[in-house]
Amino acid sequence: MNSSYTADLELARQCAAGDEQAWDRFVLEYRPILYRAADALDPSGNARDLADSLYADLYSKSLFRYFQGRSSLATWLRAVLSQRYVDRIRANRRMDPLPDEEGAIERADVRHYESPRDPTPDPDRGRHLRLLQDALDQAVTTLNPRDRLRLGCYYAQGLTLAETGRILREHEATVSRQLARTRQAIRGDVERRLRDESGLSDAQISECFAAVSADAGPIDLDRMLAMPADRKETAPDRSR
Amino acid sequence: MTNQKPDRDATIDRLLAGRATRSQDHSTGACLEADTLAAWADGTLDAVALATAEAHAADCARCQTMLAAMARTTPLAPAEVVAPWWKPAFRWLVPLTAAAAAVLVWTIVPSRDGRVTVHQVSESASATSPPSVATPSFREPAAVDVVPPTSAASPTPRREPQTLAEAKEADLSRRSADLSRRSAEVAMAEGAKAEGAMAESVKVGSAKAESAGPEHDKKSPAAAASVLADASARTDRSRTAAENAAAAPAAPAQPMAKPFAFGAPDTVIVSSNPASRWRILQGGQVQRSADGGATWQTQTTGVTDTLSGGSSPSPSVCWLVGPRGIVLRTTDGRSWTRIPFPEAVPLTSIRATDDRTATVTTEDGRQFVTEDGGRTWARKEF
Repeated sequence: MNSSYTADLELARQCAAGDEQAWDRFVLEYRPILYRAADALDPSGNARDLADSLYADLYSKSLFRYFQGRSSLATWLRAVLSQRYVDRIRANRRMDPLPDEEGAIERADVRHYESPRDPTPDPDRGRHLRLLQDALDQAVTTLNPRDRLRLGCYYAQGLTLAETGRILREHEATVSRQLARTRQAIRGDVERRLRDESGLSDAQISECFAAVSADAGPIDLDRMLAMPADRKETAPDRSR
Repeated sequence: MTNQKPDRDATIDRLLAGRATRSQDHSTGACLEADTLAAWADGTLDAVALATAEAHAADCARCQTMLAAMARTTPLAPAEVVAPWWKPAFRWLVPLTAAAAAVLVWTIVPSRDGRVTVHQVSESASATSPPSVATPSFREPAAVDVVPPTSAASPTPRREPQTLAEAKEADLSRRSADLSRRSAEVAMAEGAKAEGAMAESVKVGSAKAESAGPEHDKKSPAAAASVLADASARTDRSRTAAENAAAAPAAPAQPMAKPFAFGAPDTVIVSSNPASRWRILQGGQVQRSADGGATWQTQTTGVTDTLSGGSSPSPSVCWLVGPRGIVLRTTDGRSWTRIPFPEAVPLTSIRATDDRTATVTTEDGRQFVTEDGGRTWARKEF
């Protein structure tokens, strides 16, 4: 327990014990925090029922006993609410039908080869893309966890530099610099893998990068990597 | 090849953005508990626990999403931003420079009665002691200070039922109504208390606040205090023109506040006329002396937080600052007015040149300037 949060822990303990006065104080001070967090999670207001649900659980199910005083009570409430919100989204996504993978691959291939900006398709282009993506995956895998987490927050979660920095305790300028450094490291690693492991020449490596750069639309790596040959030993979670 | 590197980095950037659409669940071990997430957000995880949590979250889509959700729900308090490396050094530099200037001025420039007393110099030096390096607080500002659009006093409008909530809908509605009613009772009681306290010191502003009528009664104590402070600030500005003309010239160097040394009862703010001075007590109280510190009269400021510093550019004008964006000002030497400040962050010091112009320094080293008595604040860039 952190001594800074003794008062919060005491309040939680009193609430859990059914102290009406403590509960009144909790209502006054923390209910707005819960609703504010819910609105931040879903500005359309659809997360408010989760806040209500959490509120009811705190009141009736002694949820307070899980608060150990390792953080402020406000932060703990936001964490529990965030957890419930994320789990609901993931649960809802599991209900979505899986995409027709083979059809998707075919459509992706057709899209690439019939691109209006690429009237003379390069027969090696698909292979180059595949090699580049493989090298990229391996390069990312070898990064240290902190760099991977930074990439994940910024690219996968779409957080801003400042938000990413808040998680990693870095200034946003530092996050920006570290992202740039990581991209350079990945690029160097990808080039090395293409050269050493795939046996490509410098000209062919250039063609690999050019193949991505020349693409007019967004690169749908999700579809590309869904091809059976690219499937990794770790089964991807289709819930997301 | 060299010229290709920026292009290739851009390509990597694009590939990473596309790669992000894929799932990333390659994690091992159990997901982070809410307790751990919260401790991570508040910066209380030890190094080993943090490294473990980071290693897990780096490969866990669920935990990354939860971290992202947490980041999005974090109140935008600038104090949470990690300061650049030069900021701590700079924070030391400000009070040291001010201290040096104060000593120099008091040593070289004789006071109005032609005497330079040791007491003045030592007092200045004590008030400008270097700050303790405070860790930026990641705690949410006190909830009662920020009232969201949905007041705790009013029942929350129910939204469309969601999947997980449907089973609890009936029970939840009943509980929600009960809780709302109790919130309203507490808020009203506290609001009345706050109004009473503010009325002591903010005589002019109370008339406007009372005119707010029943709507005001529904607000939380913080909202009530805010209304009172805002009303009194506006009224106060209109009646200080005459006093401005009579005010003495700005003091060349005011003692800087002790940066966030809460609980220090000996922080003394000396005005341009050393006979007039204030000293900060605990719990938002201040004392004023009009006879150079021989006798002191206690004044209430309308706040209960211990203030951290102040500046008195003339005998009747004094500005005080404190935690959670508290800025107070008196222009008659007796009653205090809460000046709205744009951020609820700890304020460590203030330097005023008259009753309209002041520069406030936040705990994280930023400075805000007002030139219209606190009506507007502008960020001061170094």
